[in-house]
Amino acid sequence: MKLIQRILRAPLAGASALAVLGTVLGASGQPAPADVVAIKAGTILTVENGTIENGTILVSDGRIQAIGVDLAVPFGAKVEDYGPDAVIAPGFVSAYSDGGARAGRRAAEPRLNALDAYDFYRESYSYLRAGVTSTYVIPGRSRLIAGQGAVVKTFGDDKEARILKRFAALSGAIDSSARNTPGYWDPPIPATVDVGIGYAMAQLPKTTMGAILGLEELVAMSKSGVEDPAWGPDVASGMKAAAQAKVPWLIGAIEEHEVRALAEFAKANKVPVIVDKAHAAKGAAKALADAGVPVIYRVPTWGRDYGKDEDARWPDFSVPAALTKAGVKVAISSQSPTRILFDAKVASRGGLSKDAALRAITLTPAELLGVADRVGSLKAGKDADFVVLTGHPLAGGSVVATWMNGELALDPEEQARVRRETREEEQERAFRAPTKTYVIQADEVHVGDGTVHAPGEVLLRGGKIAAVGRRVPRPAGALTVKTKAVMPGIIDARSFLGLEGSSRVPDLGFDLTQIISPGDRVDQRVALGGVTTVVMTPRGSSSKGSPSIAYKPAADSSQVISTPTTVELSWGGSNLFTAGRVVESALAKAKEYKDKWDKYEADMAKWTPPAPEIPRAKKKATDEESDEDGEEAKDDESDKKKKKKKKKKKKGEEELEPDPVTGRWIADAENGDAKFRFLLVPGKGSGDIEGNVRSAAVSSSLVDLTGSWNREERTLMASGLGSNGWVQLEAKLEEGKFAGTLTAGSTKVDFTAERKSKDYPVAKRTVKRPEKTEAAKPVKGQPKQPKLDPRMEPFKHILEGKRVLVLSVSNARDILNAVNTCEKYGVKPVLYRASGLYGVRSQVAGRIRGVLESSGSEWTEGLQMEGIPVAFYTNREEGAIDLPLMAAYAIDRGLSPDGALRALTADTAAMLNLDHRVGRIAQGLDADILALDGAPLMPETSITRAWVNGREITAHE
Amino acid sequence: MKFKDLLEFTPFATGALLTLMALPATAQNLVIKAGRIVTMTGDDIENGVIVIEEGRIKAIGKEGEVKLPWSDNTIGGPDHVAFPGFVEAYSNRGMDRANENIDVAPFLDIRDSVDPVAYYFEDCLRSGITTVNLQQGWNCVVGGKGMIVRPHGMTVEEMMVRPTYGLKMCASPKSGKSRSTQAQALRGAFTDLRLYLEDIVRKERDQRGYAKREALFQGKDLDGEKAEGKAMGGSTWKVDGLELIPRGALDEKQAPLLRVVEGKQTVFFECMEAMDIDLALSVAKDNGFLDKTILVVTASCWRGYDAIAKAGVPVILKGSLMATERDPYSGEEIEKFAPEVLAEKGIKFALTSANSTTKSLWFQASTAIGMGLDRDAALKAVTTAPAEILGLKTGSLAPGQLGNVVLFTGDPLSMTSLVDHVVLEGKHAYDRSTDKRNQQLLDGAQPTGTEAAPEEKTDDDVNEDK
Repeated sequence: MKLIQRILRAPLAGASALAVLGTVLGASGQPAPADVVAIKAGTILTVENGTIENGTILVSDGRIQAIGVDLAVPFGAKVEDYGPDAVIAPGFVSAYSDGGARAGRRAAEPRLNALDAYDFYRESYSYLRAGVTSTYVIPGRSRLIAGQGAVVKTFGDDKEARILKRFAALSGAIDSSARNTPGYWDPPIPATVDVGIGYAMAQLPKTTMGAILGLEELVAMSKSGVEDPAWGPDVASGMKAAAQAKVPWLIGAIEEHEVRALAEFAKANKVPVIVDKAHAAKGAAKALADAGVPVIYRVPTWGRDYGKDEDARWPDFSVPAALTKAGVKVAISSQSPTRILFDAKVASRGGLSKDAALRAITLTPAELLGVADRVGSLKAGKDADFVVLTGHPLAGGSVVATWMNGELALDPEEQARVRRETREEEQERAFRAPTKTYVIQADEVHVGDGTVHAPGEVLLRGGKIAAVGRRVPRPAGALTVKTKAVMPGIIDARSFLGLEGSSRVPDLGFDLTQIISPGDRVDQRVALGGVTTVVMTPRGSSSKGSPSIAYKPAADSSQVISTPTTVELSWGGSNLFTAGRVVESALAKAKEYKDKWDKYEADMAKWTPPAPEIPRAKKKATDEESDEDGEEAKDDESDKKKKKKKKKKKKGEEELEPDPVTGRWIADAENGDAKFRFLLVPGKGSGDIEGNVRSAAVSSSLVDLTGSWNREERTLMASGLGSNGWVQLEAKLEEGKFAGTLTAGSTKVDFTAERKSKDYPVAKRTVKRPEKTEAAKPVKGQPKQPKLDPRMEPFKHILEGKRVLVLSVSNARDILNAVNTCEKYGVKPVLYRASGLYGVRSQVAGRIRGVLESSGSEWTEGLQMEGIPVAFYTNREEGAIDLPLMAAYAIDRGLSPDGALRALTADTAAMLNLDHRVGRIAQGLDADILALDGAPLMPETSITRAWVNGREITAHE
Repeated sequence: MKFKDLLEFTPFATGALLTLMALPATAQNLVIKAGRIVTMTGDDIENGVIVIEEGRIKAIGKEGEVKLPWSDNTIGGPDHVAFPGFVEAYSNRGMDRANENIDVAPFLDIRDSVDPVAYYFEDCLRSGITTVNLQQGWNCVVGGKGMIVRPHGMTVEEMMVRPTYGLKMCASPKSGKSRSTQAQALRGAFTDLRLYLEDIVRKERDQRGYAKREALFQGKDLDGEKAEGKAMGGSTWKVDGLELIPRGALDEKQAPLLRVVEGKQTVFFECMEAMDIDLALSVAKDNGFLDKTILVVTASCWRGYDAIAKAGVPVILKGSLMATERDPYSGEEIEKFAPEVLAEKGIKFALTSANSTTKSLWFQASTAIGMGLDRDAALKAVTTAPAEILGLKTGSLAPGQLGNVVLFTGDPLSMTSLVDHVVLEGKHAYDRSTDKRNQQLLDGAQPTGTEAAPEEKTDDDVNEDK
């Protein structure tokens, strides 16, 4: 199961992974070589043996088994394919990390080991996120010889296994930080009989020459092994141990003269010195090269005041380039190890190549610290520590995943999921699938309203467009997509997609969301064809107006944009006497209805409620009491006697749980199917229940449920439309647990469910209730609220400009009449089938919202030039996929490409009041994006990738 | 000197001797009656009696079923709840100073620092603590020897339960030290011991009698047991030829550590962070005293509890029960309830008072229950568990146990219960009816020999006078 999850989680694992899976499952139960993992990526930077394109790394037992192109992947190995854009580089080796070390007590403490102060329990996350898999730990700072530095891995539970080298280098410094003499004598306080009055401390060197002299003395002691009391105990033996261990001396030096002195010291005493820090080592490049002394350039802390003196040393980031040119071996480290990648980029100034800089934070430090046999490059036999990035690490790639010892140590997607889940649980939105973060880089970004960013970038995050522009931020873990052009998802302004062949015209009060189903294969194909939003309109027409709904067929959540989006009426031009009657009367009625409400609202605004009377307050108190009984409170108020009786009778059994049903439930399927969960919330009426269920067994998507809860019999009946048809949930509540069945077609799942959380505590309902009692029992003098008519509401909204009236009207005379009629009521209609519009275009321009056109005609251009927005539609179900082709044809016939694009996206969205969600590539809008391999709406251009609500749509199997 | 040495090496015998000397009242019998007896070994006894003879519990059972002694000296009644009393597993209080400045000082003895009239001990009785394990504070590398006391008595000798018990070590850095220098100093203490022993044996071999002469020069007499040389008993490392050296001839500063290496001395190893646990365990293992080690840990060490479970050492949880940290993945603040982690991993643990006597053991146990530990485990962690860890015959009420009984006015863990009587090894050590301080605090009683403060005149009074 875990294997399957892994593969499914791997981005773009797609067909190959599934094929492997298939073979595994088909291999008649033969055990697979469980430990072998094959990791694939478009580019593998081995550092040691060049770059491998479309290569594979085979990992087992924590080591790299093989690396190359077209490797035979063992039967049943796990495959992680990061896709052609991904880059794999060795895990970075940080040559500096303080691990909380402090200065030792004496000038030389060669016995002090860094591991004694290293906290193996510290969090690894920040290191892994930065791609740092191994790090050198200093034993202490600011001392001539601070002690023994160690190299450890940044992640893992087994402490011993994490230690790459216990004694990797003798750490020290000769720069000014190490020449801070603590003093001659450090008396213990109080001096007692047991403790003498203290011993004199050796004076630490105060100058560079003193420091070099000190180092030379230590070299002599390491040879003779004779302790010198001036240095304190155990120094000679410690230095001797270091000499025997043949470790390098990693000595900090900043100024040029210090670096020179060190180089000379190394040459004269034949000590394997590595210069640490080396901030001003440029001038000493030749001396270093002559002495064969390598350098670990530690990028100086930036973002501070450097001093205004003439000799103040301002950071010079081009040192590594200069040293490399002179033939010095250079590694790059950072004051803050988790910033190493950025600092390496900074330190590439002055002409350090990308590959040289990468080597300077991987193989070179590994070599210098003596751990190159295990880490630092990608090579068979080495530890499988590597980083997966969205691009070359030194050219804008950010870390997507970090592998340590052949295991996925950091999986940002997984973390994002964890983070989102915890947040969502708070917000009661546990069922939404995660979206990834993408940075789409395109030669042309067509915003939709005519604006083009060329080149441009779009950042998709959390299902929305987070940024658009020439360059956008690149959050860690964002996947980079490169493409020729991008455009917004296309809107089909009048479509039948989703009607499933039905030709019924629903009532205006009908909630169209009920017939919307989550995206299936057909919807995904249509979206891949470019149409991401459709305005679903019934096939027939109705004299009372037919509603439409704007939704995203391929999305699996946040599908609906608005409903009813439009109300469509027919002008009826064949009979001059009756023409326009329907529209006129509908608008008149709407005006009347609206006026009533306007008056009510105006009155309400003027009305001041009287001070509450005392008996009323009392009543409120009893109300609150009855709240505890949940549903009881909803009983008919007039029937008080009965209610009281009922209440008493019920009290005994209800005391246990006032609200036993609503909340989140986790169900255990009895026939061994996976667990599923469902959510129940109180519905509008007493005993009504709403909610949803997610179960892979019955539906591939979330099923919205409506149903009822019978208190007396303690049974629950609910149903909803799933991807495989209607889903029926029947269950009986016994002792706080539901037992029942979940049915969809022939699939039947028996389950018992336990309540996980009570998301809708009883208290929530009290918010609603006062309104209701007020409405039921109006206070004296309070204006009376008009009756709410769901059939009139859309018309009211049309008058208010919140919804759109679509008028089907054809000839020029009728168009003028219709527009005049609408104007009387302050309505700007959208015209449909308006074949005569072109002739009267100048007369209606500015008085209509726009016009729906089946596809571009030779007049379209003229309408757009007149300022009349045009929207394209198909009046098809899955045929909607050809909408862009129709537009391309219109362009071929002379329509401007720009105008066609607008007609498919921004203009349609604006016309139908959808522009708060879709229609343009603009910040804050839904991430409905199409990636193209050429200019948009050209016949030869194909749509390569498509995103809906930030989720990439992939072809279904 | 002689007496002190005797104390050091024969703690049990002396303890008993002192008990007899210090508490003459224990010769008497004492009968304690209670409406409920919380025995901590089995079920509670309703309407029970406890008979204490010579400082130990002679019999315990239901009233009427237990034969009462002839001389009836009875306390308690049906409203009382008898409880074995809390055992403070580890404390640095009740001393004039909890720390010495020297890094490695195993020759120090906490006895010289204990202040019998410290309020701390008085408060211990008020909160039902019968036994306190006193150890040196955290600011050391190797600290001095500790002791177990009862919180009652006018002299240290009177208080002693076990005159010398435990040696303090600290794996977290002493002030002014880094973690690596602390580790270096800890390991160095044992290296120094080994070098010293090798040196003294070498000198003995070169010039026979050197150690003896040196000892005589220092004024130590080498009579009896101390005149004998003994082979070294360490399990991980030994120095050959140590049997040549009389134990009395060893340097006083090194002798306590030798006892540690030989596995004869209990060590309290303090760890503030998870990483310190590894150091403590490795030092203990390298020098062969792992099975004599008791770790004193904080809640924030919880990541290191795995290592403790593996090593199988008992734990004393110091202070706060909850560790708070930020989860690096979700960015949320997470709280770890340390007793739960300890219980999960099967580690034997005892709790200590959090920071003052107002947050005493009853408070800690109640807090632990409130945070989800079951009542039984929480009670054990402040009674039987510390008694077992420290090897004391107290913490429960059963025949043969020390006669430590606390009479509460209600449930021992209740906020509103008060301690009415404390009996320490058969001696009636505390009686609330004679506790002046308590009366003043709770009942507003006027302390004897004081006058009520004159009422200050308010402005109103002044106006009225006019």
